[in-house]
Amino acid sequence: MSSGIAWGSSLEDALQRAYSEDKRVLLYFSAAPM
Amino acid sequence: MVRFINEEFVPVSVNVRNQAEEFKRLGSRLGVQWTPTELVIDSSGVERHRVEGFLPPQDFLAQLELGLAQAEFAQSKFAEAERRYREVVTRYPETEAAPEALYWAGVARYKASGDSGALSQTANQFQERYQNSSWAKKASVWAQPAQTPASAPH
Repeated sequence: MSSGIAWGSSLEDALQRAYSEDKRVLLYFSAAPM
Repeated sequence: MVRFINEEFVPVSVNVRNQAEEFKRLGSRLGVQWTPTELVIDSSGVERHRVEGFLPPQDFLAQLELGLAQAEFAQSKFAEAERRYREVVTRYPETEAAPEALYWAGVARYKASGDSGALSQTANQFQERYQNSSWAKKASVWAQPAQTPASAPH
């Protein structure tokens, strides 16, 4: 996945932010070295 | 892709190597069986779309846009959903997401208007493109038989 994406690490925090900003959460499960 | 994701989503990554416990917790809860897997989740925590396995950028972007459309549809925002579905068809016509989006664009228009003509129009569109897709088969039930003019000369 491209670098430069503002990844967070907490789904719970992301859901709260998505609610307040009227967005969706993109949850990315990976095995690639980060 | 970076701008699209940052603008449209709140992105979260869970890495099996660096976040093994979180991967196990969320992966188990959400039924994730393989990587990469991407989920589009609405703000109430409901999954609206899933991509499993690697996709080239254009296909991946098309799937993300499709996921946004599905989320709008689920909120009964049918006009917005239709606009996004049609964006998928217009911007990513060669992807597998496109015929799926064309199908759902017709459903969204029908849901918004109550006009079943939206479905038959969609079936007609599938006679011109994506004929071999499973979505064309699904839409075929909406096709209306060709009308014979009542006053056709003999």
